[in-house]
Amino acid sequence: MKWKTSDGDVFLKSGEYVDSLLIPLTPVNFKQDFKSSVAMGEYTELLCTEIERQLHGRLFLAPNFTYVMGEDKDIPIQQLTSFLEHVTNSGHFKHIFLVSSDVYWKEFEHTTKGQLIWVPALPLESMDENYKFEVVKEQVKPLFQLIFNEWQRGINS
Amino acid sequence: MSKEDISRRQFLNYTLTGVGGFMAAGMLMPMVRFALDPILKEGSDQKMVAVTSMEELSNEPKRFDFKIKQKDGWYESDVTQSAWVYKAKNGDVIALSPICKHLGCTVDWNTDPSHPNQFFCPCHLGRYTKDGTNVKGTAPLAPLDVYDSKVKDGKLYLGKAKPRKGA
Repeated sequence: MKWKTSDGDVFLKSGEYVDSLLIPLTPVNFKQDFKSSVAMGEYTELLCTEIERQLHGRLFLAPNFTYVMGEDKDIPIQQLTSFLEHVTNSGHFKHIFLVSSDVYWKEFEHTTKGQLIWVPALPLESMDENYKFEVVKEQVKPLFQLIFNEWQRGINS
Repeated sequence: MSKEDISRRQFLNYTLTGVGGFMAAGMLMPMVRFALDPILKEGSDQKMVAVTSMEELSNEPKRFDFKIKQKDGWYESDVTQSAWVYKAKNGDVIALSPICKHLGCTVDWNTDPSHPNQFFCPCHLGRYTKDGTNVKGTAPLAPLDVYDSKVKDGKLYLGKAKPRKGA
């Protein structure tokens, strides 16, 4: 489900079927590494759109979680923690998936709530449209497996 | 023809009506065009998109992804759509929409080991038989949508996905 009112209505009605939240962690920095922050955001957005498209009925794609990259090391993780606090307290989501290309998050992989999916960004700008599409399709496949495994664990536990 | 056949008055009359007529037409034509515009416009959803060549199809459902243009308010974008396509026993091409009728996940073919040769939705374990009929007792309440399809010059074209009556 996307962050749209029409999907929001479905969520309100059949919320019990939607137990997963997908959050793209999008770095922003206008001073340094600007281009790479854009590339990371572009790549994670493509991945998340494709994941959402295929798992529309069980997974909610949250709006991008944006933060300033590479300045104060403590702030992004604090902000994310309090955001996730709110998400878990809402009681809607059993599974939380975080997607990012920023290596910053790798450090917190085991301490944050939710499963971090860290994927190094690919240089999409040099690819033509069809090739890009194929690449994203292939890249997304293992991520599905990861999500399915997490769901499976939810059933077994 | 002598010069006296047409008087100065008549000549001016003719030219003025002629010029006036052109001007009136020039003004009216766009107005008429605007008024009729919605009728002349081709229904955007009726456009068929070439998806694959016929040689790639078999009796086993195969997934094809293709792009259509979608208008969302002012924002026009390419949207990826998928279809499960196979040839039926009588040679007809069947193109099913992979969108699960429960809550809209994408269904997969033959991925649930305990129920082979069925479409399987990983989200809430919905199942459909090969012709897209929903299996009773699973989450979905309607069969998968079927795409309008057309074969031309050995290529398969798909149009809009149409819902069917529930089983």
